[in-house]
Amino acid sequence: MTILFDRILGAMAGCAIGDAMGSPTETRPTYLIKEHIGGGDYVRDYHTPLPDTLSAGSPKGLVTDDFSVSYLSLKQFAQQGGEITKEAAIAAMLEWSTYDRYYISHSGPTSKKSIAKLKGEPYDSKDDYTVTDIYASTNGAGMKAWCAGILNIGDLDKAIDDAIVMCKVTHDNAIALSAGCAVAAATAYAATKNSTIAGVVKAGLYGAREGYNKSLPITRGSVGASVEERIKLAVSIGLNYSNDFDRLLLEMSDIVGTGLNANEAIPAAFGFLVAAQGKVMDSIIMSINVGADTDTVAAIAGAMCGAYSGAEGLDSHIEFISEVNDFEIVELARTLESVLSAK
Amino acid sequence: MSTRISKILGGFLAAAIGDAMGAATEIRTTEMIKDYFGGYVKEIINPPEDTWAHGTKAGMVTDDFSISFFSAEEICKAGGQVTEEVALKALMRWSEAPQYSRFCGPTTLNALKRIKGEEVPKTKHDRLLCVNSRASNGAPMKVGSIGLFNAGDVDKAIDDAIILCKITHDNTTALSGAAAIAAATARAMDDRVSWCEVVQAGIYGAREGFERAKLIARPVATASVERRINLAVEVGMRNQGDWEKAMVELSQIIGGGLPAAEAVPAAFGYIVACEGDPMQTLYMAVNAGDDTDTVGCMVGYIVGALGGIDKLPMKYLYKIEQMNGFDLQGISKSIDNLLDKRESNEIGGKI
Repeated sequence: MTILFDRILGAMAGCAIGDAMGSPTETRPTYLIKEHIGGGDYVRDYHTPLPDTLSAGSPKGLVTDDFSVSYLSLKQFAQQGGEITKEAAIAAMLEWSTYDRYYISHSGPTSKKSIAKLKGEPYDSKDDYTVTDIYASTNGAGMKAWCAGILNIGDLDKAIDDAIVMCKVTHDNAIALSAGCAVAAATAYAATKNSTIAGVVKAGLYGAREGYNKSLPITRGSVGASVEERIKLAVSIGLNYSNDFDRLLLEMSDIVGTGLNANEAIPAAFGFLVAAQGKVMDSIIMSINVGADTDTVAAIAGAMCGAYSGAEGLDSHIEFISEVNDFEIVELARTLESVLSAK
Repeated sequence: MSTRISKILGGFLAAAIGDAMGAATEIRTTEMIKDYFGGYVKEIINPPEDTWAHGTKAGMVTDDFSISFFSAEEICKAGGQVTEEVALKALMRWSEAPQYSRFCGPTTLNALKRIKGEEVPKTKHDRLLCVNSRASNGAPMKVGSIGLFNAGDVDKAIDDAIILCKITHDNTTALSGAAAIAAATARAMDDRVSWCEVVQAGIYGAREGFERAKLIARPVATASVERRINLAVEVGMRNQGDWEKAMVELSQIIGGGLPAAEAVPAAFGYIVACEGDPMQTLYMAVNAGDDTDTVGCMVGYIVGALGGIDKLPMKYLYKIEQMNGFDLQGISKSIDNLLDKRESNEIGGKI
C-alpha cells in the first residue's frame, strides 16, 4: 500500500465514519446524547437513529449528506481525470438529489435551494433582493471541501481555488467558502508525507483567509463572524483541554458552537483535530458527543485527521459503511490514487 | 423629572433609537456600511432598498422595538402583571400592525400561526426533539421593558422575561438570552449603578434564565449565551478606548446575527467596550453589522436605563414619538406610578 493510497482512503474513511456515527446524535446537546443514546455515557459506536432526529428511519451505519455528497463528487472528479470543474460539481449535486435516502432528510437549506435553482425548479426567491443573504453562511461547503484538498495534495493554493469552484455551485457566500477553503487547504497539507499538526492548523488559517478574500468579490454578499478568528478560538480550546474530555466538549459547544453555521462547525472540527492530535477515531468520538451538528463536525474532523494519519485500523468500519450504503469506498480510493499518480 | 422616570424614558428612547438607526445598517457588514453610507452611521436615516426595512421612513422602528413597546403597553393595562395572557394580547395586537409585523422573524412567525390556529407548513423539522434554529434573538429583542417594570428586582425580571417570551420562543437558549437582557435592564434601573454591575446582572440572568427555562422549555443544542457573554466581556475589556478595534473584534469573534447566542453576547461586549456610554454603545451596535437593529434595541434598553434620558439627543424623542405614534413619555409615567404603588404596598405590607 502506498502512502498516497493510505491518505486518500484515510480521508474518505474518516469522513464516512464521522458522518455515520454522528447522524444519531445530531441536533441534541451533549447531556441528552448521553442520556438518550449513550445509556448515561458518551456515545462511542454506531446507533440506530431515534424517531426525533433528522435521520429517523435510517438504518445503523447509513451516512447523511456529508459523506454521500463528497463520495459522489469525488466520483465525478475522478471521471474528469482528477480535475475539479463547475460542470462536474453540478453533475454530482444533481446526481445526489436523486438518492432519496440522503436527499429527502438531509438536504441542508442552502444546498437544497441551489439544487432547485440548478434544476430550474421553483424556489423561495422573496429575499433575493437583499444586499446580503443571511441564511447562506452554512457548513455545507465545509463538509465536502476536503475533496478539493485530496485532489490537490501539497498544493494549498490550487486546493483553495478548486474548493471555490466546487462549493460555489451551492454556496455562493464568502463565509461558507472561507470555511470550505480552510478545510481544503488543511486537507491538502495534512495528506503530505511529513505533515505536522501545527502545519495543518496553519494551512487551515491560510485557507480561511485566502478563501474569504478570493470569494468576496465573486459571491453574493454575506455577513457574520469570521471563520478564521473562530478557528483560532477553537484551536486554543483544543490545546488547553486535550487532557480533559468533559471540559473540551463543554468549552467547544458553549463558546465556539457546533451548529449549522460555517463559522461554528468548521472551527470546532479544527479544535478537535488539535485535541485528538490527528487521530481519526479520537476526533470522531469528540465530535459526535459535542452536540448540535455532530455528524458534520465529525465528518470534517474525520476527513482532515484521515488525510493526516491514514486508514490504519479503520478496515472494519470501511467494510461496514460500504455495505450499508452500497458504496465502493476502497475501489474509489484506488481509482483516485491512479488518477493522481498520472497527473 | 425624577431619576426613575428619566431612567425609564431613557430605556425606551435608547431602544427605539437603536432599532430605528439600525434599520438602515441591518444585514450589512461594517465594511459594507462604511462603503455604502460613506462612513459610520450615527444618525437616523432612511433604510436602503436592498435591506429588510426598505420603504420604512427614517424614525420608524421595526419589529424589535414595536413588539417590546406593545408588550409594555399591555403589561401597563394589566397593572404591571406579566402573564401568558398579557403576552398573547401584545403579540396579537402587534401582528395586526403590518408596518411592524412585516419584519416578523422566522420563529415568531410560525408561533403566531400556531397560536392563531392557522396552518403551519409541515417540515422535516417537526419531528425533532431539538429545533436549534429557534434559539433566536426574537425573545431577547422584546424583553427590555420587563427590566423597567422590575426596576432593581433582577430575579422577578428573569421570571417575567420567560413568561413573556415562552409563547413564541419555547427553548432554553432563547429564554436564557431574554433573561440576560431583562436582568441587566432591571439592575440598570438602580441608583448609583455602573456598567460593571449591569454586566454582572446580565451574566446572572443568562445563567438563571437557562436553569429556570430548562425545567419548562424545550432543549436545544447551541452555544451558551452565558459563556459567550464571558468571551465578549474579555474582548470588550481588552479594547476599551479603541472604539473601532473593539467593534471589529467583537463582530469577528462573537458575531451579531440572528442566534440568541450571538446577538445577546455582542450587546454586552459593546457595553463593556464603551464603558456603558449610551450613544457610543448604540453607535457600535448600529455599525458592527448583521442584525444591528435587534442588538441596538436590546442594548438600548440597558444603556438607556443606565444613563437616563439626559444622555440621549432629545430630537429623537420627538421624532420617534411622531413617526410611530408612540407615547414614550406617557408610558414612562405610567410605569413610574406602578412602581410607586408597588413600593407603597411593600411598605404597607411590612407595617
